[in-house]
Amino acid sequence: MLLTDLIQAEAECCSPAARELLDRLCAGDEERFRQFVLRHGVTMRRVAAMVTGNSTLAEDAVQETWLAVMKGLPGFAGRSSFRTWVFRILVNRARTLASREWRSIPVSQLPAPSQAADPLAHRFDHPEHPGHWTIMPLPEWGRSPEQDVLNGEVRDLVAKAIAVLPTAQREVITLRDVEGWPAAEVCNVCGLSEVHQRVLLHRARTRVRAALEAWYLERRR
Amino acid sequence: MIAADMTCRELVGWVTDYREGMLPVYQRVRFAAHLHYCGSCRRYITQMRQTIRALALLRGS
Repeated sequence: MLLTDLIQAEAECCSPAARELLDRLCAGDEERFRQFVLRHGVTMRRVAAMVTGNSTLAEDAVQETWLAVMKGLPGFAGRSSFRTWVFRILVNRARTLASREWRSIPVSQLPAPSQAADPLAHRFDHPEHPGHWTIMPLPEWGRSPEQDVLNGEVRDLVAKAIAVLPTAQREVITLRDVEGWPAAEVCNVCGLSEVHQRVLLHRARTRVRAALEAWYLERRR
Repeated sequence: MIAADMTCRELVGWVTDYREGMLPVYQRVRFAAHLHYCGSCRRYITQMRQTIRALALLRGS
């Protein structure tokens, strides 16, 4: 009951300003959207924390609320104010999370690192929001990898990660990211189209990042 | 209609194109909008940046 009071206290009528914001959001006005997220995020987090009693679940609730808002926005009929609508979703999400104790799977439950072609397979099998992170990127890699490299700790790891890449990926990431060559020159040297070069670079970087993540994870165990 | 519904899986696939400035305008808007509210993807982007910087530090070794 305290929550509905809070929501009502913060709710705006469907004022012309609110309606204009809604129109801008629907028109894809990114800056307005960004301001809206910033302005409401603090309150949303506070409300969600109140419902769940837990700041981690509160964060999940806020994130899932935005997903639902994005999906539902085209169908929003304006019967309530926009803010009321958003917070109603938020409270429902928070309650569901609190009762179900659904938690994103921790990275520690990842299988041992392999040289999988797609290191991010099975990281996005969210039961309710297909395509969104289930096993999230490992938080706090700690000291930045640059400092670790300077200390020599990560140097071997990154070198090893490059060494086990398929040849074409290894060539591209070495020339582009280790040596710092521009894309056009790498294309010329390796006989690649720009698109192909970019695909190889993408795959190589994805693998090296995954190797770094696995390394940080191992250090925690 | 707002450029919504870019999933995290999609975003991760677009990361390199985004950094290279090769995303079509529509995808760039969706990409940036997703990052405004998805902390996990922001973390991923940061880690990708850190990875690339770590690679650069191997130069000349």
